[in-house]
Amino acid sequence: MRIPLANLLARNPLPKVSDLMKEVITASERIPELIALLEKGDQAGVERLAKEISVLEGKADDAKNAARSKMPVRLLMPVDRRDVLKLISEMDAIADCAEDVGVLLTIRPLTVPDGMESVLNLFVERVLETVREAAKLIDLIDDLVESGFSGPPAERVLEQSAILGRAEHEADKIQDQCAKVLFKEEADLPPVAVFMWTKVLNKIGDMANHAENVGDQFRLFVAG
Amino acid sequence: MEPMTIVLAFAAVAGLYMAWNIGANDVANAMGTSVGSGALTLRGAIIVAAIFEFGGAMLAGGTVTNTIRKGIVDVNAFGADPMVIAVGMTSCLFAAALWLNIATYAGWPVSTTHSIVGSVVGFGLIAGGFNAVNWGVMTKIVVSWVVSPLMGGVLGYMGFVFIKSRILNVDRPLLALRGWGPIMVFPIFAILTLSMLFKGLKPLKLDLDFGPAIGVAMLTGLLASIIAVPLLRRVARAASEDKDEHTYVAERVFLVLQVFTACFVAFAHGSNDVANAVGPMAAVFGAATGEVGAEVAVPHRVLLIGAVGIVVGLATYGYKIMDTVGKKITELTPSRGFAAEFGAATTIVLASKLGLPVSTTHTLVGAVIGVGFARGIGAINMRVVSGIVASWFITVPFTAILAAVLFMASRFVIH
Repeated sequence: MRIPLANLLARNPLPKVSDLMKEVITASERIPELIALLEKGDQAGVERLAKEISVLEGKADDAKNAARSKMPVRLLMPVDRRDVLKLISEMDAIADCAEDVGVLLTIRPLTVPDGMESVLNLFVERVLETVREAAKLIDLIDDLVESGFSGPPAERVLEQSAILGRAEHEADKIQDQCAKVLFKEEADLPPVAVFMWTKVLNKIGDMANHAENVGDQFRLFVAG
Repeated sequence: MEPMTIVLAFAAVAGLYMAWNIGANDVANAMGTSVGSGALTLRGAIIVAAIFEFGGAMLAGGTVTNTIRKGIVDVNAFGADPMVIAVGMTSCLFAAALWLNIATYAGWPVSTTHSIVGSVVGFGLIAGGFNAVNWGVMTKIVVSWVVSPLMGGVLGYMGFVFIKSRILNVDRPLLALRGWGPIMVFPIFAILTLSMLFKGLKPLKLDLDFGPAIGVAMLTGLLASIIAVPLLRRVARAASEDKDEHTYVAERVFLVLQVFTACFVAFAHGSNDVANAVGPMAAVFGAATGEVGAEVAVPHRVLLIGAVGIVVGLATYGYKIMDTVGKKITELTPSRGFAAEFGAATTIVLASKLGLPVSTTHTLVGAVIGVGFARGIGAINMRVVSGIVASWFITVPFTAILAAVLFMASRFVIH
């Protein structure tokens, strides 16, 4: 049928991004549980949960592909298509890192070094806090679209990006503390364990880094 | 039966079919934005379309009708036989309607305007040779096909940027709307009135010169603004301090404003597109009564055939398409629809006043894209735009050849 106007307006792909964020949050929220099992020394539990996180990451991948498939090249959007694709891959990277943390903990069974437990718990909590702040940004998308990417919703996005940035900075500081505790114990630990712990801490920290990048993408949306 | 009577009957049928096509397809595209945003119900859209399409055709459609009737081709180049024009214009109607039917079936975004202009050129080339076509007028028409979506786009863009920065994104949108609303109502009513008055109301012998027409238009616009002031004040007073509620109510006000722009669009469409069916028919009926080149008003019975065809098209098929359009474009909020419709309608009315037959749908598409560039729309499928551009290059040559072939065939049959 010859209906150019109906064919002209495509469905807005941005709400699909919220679906992806839900999956990313679900996968990330399992990390504190994983660390708790590790601290208890329940290796079987760690293996089981790592598998679960891997399944959740698969779901996030599905959501990512669903969001991407709604963005053909010939789509005029209020934001640059490449920026949205970058946003999607940054969100997906959070879930990827969560999966990697699980995998690292199953490759070589690790024990938590003395004195690290409390600061490790705090670190994980701060990282998750950063991811949650990123999710709040995603919730602002609808308002942004409605206001034509300007006005009060745009200001709220900038404020929230700043909050997200501070949260990531806090997580960074705790990560440094974790590393300090780790290297204080380096004489008593097998070198491979130190090596693996460094990797695990970096992976957990990367979750917060990617969450912060979500904020940077939003800054670009509002700036353009 | 005399050959001329048979030709007249054929012309009436072809004109009716062309008008049906316009009613079924074009009107649905023009009114779809209002149905999609919820400004008009399906029934309301059909009633508005029927009234304002007819009004636009009767009051402001004369200039475009004349361009199609004798502006594109030089009617004196066909010799003294009125049969040539009668048969030729009937062939044009059939060629254009046939092409529209094919395009509708295939889903190509072609324009009724382009179809009829193409076929008239094809007929002119065959019947009167290269010089029978008024290439100056033709160039102006083709340029207007590019310029009108662009202008609609620029007006839509500016309209939405204005709404965004002055109304939607301030602390108290309703207070802003109370101030700006009457000012926004003014141009709608002023331009509508101006296009009706300025050499428009010929059938009623009310045509005014430019000066007095502008005066009356200003007064009408001012009157509409003054009426809008207390209405908007009441809306603004009823609202609480809540920002979200303000935005919501502001969109509701745009819903009402959009009903005005919908009337505006229907009027603009009537003034421009109804001529696609009426113009060639008027030429045939003129030839039948021996008034080939003379300056005569379009006979009322011809206008009636056009109007009836459009209303029947709307009632039998248009509501279906409008329903589809309305359901598919729900993401166009009233403020966006208002900006797009205002940009498109202003452009079309201006073009009709200049005697330039432009495509309503293409202009509206341009205006919607303009709103999109102002970051007002979630996603626009630009593939449609390339389809439209492609149809520019196919429609005119195809209908030209088809009209020429039909003309030669029917001349062969008659002789």
